[in-house]
Amino acid sequence: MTEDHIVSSRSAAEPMVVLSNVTKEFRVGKKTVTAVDHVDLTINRGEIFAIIGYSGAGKSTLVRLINGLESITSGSLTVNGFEVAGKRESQLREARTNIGMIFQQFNLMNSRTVAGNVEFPLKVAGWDKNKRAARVTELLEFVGLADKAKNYPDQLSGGQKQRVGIARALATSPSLLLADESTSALDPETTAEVLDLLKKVNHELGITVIVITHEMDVVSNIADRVAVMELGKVVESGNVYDVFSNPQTATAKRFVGTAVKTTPVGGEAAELKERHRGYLVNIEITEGNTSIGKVLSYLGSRNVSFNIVQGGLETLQGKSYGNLTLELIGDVISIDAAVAELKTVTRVQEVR
Amino acid sequence: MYTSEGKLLAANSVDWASFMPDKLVPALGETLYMVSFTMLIAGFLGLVVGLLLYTTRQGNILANRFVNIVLNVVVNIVRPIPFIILLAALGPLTSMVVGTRLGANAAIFAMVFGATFAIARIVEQNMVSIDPGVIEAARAMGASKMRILFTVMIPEALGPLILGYTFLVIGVVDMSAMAGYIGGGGLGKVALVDGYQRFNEIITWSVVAVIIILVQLIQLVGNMLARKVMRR
Repeated sequence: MTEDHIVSSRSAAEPMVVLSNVTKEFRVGKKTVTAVDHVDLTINRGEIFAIIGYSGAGKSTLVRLINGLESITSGSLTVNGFEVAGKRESQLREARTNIGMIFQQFNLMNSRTVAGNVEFPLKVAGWDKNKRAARVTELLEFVGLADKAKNYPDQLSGGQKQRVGIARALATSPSLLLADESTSALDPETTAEVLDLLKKVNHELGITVIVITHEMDVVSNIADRVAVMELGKVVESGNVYDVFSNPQTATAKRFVGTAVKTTPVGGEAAELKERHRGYLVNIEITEGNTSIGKVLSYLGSRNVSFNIVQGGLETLQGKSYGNLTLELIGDVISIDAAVAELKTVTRVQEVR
Repeated sequence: MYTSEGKLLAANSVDWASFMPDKLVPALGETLYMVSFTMLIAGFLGLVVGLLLYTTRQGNILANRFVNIVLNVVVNIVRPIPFIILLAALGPLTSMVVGTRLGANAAIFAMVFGATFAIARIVEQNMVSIDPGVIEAARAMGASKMRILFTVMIPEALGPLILGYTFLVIGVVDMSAMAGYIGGGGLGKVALVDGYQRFNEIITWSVVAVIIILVQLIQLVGNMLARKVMRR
């Protein structure tokens, strides 16, 4: 883990995909819908970059702007320095052979075998027959499906289909891989398999990966950096740990909430207070914060006892973060002092 | 009633020894000739028109509103005309192009005209069922429009296309029977002239039986081919 991250953060200096003020509008009847709204984003060479958002946030449109499947309404988007905006389909074709893409529904050709599917982009790129055959074998070995070469897609499981999709996307040795909800149609176990393969693609082949997802798990599993999208805008972006250990927007907080228990509010808070008569506070846990433990261990000598009533901890990029809800029991003055002391070492919120 | 040898025949009796080689077999040959030529020409023209109908749709690879509307209007005008009326209505055009309004070749002209537009619709309808995601994937790999059309779209829709064409071969057999009415020859003419008009139900029904067997065979071959392509 650590070594890999040193590698990716060292190479992180070089921008690969740069979006400046990118907007995409669709005409739906007489109305104009803005799917991507003035987005600025830089994806660096060698990293796994995740774009997370709910459906309709514009993330799938955004990824299609990168390989020109959708045209850009305004702004600039470069891939390896190549300006994608304003290019015709024929001009984009060559750029696309340097960008692989995988899809939620795999999008394999049912009329071709596994090998035929993987071979297709090589035919498009004009490889000769012998080179194609060797490359197909190599790719199927890489994704662990060498024995399925002659099978048809409808004979494969979802996870196997996605691995064929990945082999196909890697065929022409692209420097960038776009993964559009690539695990959303898969069960948790297969999801882990596919994510491991994407990590392998990134680490062993050095391919930059852009992952589109609505699943927090996917981001925490493989991404180095993340952008949170909502209503066509990037509302938060940065290092995955920084964004999710300290979410600023409601959307990011909701995503964090799907991974760990967050500060209880509303009905959940009321129910907790019903069960626990003490003073309830929520404290934030972050990596390397050893002061919290010290403060808690002194509470007894201040005539305050505590119970841990709820909480959640998660590890992101090898660092933990999360929340604990504590029930503090004692007299009011002692509790006030304890809370004040906790506030000096972490973020504390009263549970209302 | 007289046979070709001048033998007297009662209505509803058939001299099979002469009917088979003199009438039925040549008629079957004529029908097969008309159907196969019609399918050859209309099959190709219909494929072209059908592919254009499909690919010029909004959002498709050759999206073109004008072409799409014009083609749709033309197809919608020709398709509802009952074939027996189309045969008569095309008469002047047929004699201009083929040189005569009678005979197998005149019938083929009218059949091609009618079948092309029917095939175009069937082709379009079967192409529409192609998963747009597969086409998007091909675009993402940098494939050109023509490559997508010929190496992605058609292979992906091949099974249903075969079944669609099978359906239309049978439609064309039906057309060829009607063509007998304008002197097109074939099984239709035998059923009509030797059977119906002479009140000989045995002839009528024996021709019908031959047509049924023909249709069954065509469907059988079509199903086999489609199953082979779709592997199920």
